[in-house]
Amino acid sequence: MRKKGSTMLTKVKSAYFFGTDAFEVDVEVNILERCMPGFEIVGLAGREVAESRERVKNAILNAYGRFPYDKKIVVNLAPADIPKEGSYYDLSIAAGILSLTFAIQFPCDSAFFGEVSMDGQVRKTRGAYLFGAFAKAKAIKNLFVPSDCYQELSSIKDVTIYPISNLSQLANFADLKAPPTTDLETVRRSLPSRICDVDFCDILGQDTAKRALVISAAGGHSILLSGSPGSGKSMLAKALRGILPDLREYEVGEVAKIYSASGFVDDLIVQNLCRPFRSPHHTISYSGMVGGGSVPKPGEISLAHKGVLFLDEMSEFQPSILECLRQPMEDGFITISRSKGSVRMPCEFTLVGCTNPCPCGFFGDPKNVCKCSPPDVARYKKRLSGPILDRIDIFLRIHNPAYEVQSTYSGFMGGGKAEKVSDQLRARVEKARAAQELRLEAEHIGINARMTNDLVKKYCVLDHTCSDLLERAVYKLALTPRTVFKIIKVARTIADLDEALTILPSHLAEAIQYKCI
Amino acid sequence: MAGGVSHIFPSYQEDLYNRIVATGLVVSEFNETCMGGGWSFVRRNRIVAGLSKAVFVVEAGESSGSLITAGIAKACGRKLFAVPSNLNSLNSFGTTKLLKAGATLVSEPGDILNAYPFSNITNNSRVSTVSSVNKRLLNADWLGTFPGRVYKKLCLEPQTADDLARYFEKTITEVLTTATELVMGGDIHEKEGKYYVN
Repeated sequence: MRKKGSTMLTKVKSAYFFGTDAFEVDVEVNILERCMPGFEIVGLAGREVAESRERVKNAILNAYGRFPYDKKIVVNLAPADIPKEGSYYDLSIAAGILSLTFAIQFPCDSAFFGEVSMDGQVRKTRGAYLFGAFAKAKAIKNLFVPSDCYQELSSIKDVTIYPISNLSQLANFADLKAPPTTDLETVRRSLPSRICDVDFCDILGQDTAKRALVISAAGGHSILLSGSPGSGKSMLAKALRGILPDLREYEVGEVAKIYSASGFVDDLIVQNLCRPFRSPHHTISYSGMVGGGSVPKPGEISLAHKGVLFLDEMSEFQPSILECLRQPMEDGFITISRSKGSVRMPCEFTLVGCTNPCPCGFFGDPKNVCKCSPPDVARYKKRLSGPILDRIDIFLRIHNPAYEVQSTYSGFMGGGKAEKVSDQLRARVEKARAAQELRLEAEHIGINARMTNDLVKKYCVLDHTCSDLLERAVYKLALTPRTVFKIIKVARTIADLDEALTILPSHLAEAIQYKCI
Repeated sequence: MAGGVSHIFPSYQEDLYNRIVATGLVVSEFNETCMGGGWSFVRRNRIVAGLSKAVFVVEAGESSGSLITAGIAKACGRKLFAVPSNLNSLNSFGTTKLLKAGATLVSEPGDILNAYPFSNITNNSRVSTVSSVNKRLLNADWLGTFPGRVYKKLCLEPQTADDLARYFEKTITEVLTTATELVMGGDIHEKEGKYYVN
């Protein structure tokens, strides 16, 4: 009879990501002596996790010079019934083995995250912020992460973060020094010129469009610009980026989680600096737009959460993909269900669309002749369905600026540069946004565009002159009730830009002209 | 018709076709199911001119079917009428050319009606286009106000809000507010981003 082998067991914590959700995973490492030597990983480990054996073995060997080849190592990822994917369990498995073989004492509530490479280096992987947010929610005190992820985690407070660049550092982790991170104030001061290369002063004329974009930025109103090629639609939409208000502190978490889950961590966004601005090409697929995959990844609508989704040449998008936007725009979140489970991801975005008025683009253009027949124009307009147009607050028709406008700008044709105005406009937008946040604080929405009809009735009380004007407009322009609510919401934002407490008839009159049809 | 009588073209005007068939006549020189083509429109115009006592051209580009029709009509000794319009517009090229060549200038309905011997139009029943443009232009007090000035400007030429703001040196907000006032009053309307007088 064989003698019973002695065992050593340790448990460390890690996490499992599904969409933007994270769940706790215990990494249990057991080393058996007097057993057939080997290295096994159990617990529904996916391909990347199974391959982790070779990475961890070689990394430990290269960082510490030896590996317990003579013993049997069993790693269990619990709970065992959830499939695990991703390479970020490497560090926790390595830590478990190291604590048993080299007697490294980690604090009892520690969690590990990161991929190791053969030479013992620790690599950056997708989901560091999600991991940090998960640790904070679960009150895990110590986090061991790749040092390249440190910047991504810099907004996570109350958690001790140990940035590891090589496995050998785990032996004396207490002496680790944090790598330098960018000073947020420096970055903030250089905005928005750093992220937005189009200033409002770079655009000739188009005063109505500029005004409408300021309103859109202030109240989060979705907007559709239509006009001939070369009239400056796309440029206007890009300039919008420079006047968006800063991301609020309470919004950062949600946005950072989405970016962390999708893998493209834009440092600026994660560090609560600027709002997302996404401009997918019109060849985008369903799952690219709304999110998808067997383990769902966020789509463009979620990546545009709390920011702008800019659809250039909107009529060229597949109609079925545009229709996908209907429900998420209404609800502010999307639920993606796949065989492995379902996940709910937020997507409160402002839609900014650009389109031509007809296939040739010159319908209604004073200088060029439109070559399209009336049915062609009608068919082109129908590409944007009623339900989608219903969700757009501001409609604008852009014309090529008149010749006089072009010639009065010295900046045009390489003359002197006009004075930058986007920063000033952004300051006004910030003020209007703050007024909305204060008023709508109890409703947790923050922007006028997200007010439901009930909230409009509650917060936008119209006096006699205003309701009279609105009534006449309903009669004269045959407005639908939905349009009336849109007009009131836009008027409320105009009033906020005016720093007015109540909506005045002039605000309403201006809002009516933004073609709320 | 430029094709056979049973080939409705353009197809979206089927409704108009049916109304004409119900009360009038559809004529074609082609086989019933002939599809026609670019060439057949020019031939069709020859019949249009031949059937008419006179041809009245409202808009015509440089190489347009209207101008071809007018040419055939003239060759056949039909009377020609044309409306003068803005020289900047591409669509005024043909009409200007016709007027230069001696077509009768039309600025009000009577100009055409009087050319017919059977019509006994008196001065009383003539409709003056100028006064029908708007009675509001007679209200001097109102024309002095900002909405009035905007209205007067729009009577000259349709304008965008940008144009108006620049011309009157006002903010977009003021222009749009005034536009709503004028739209509500039934004076102007908006189409494709431009304001037009009603």
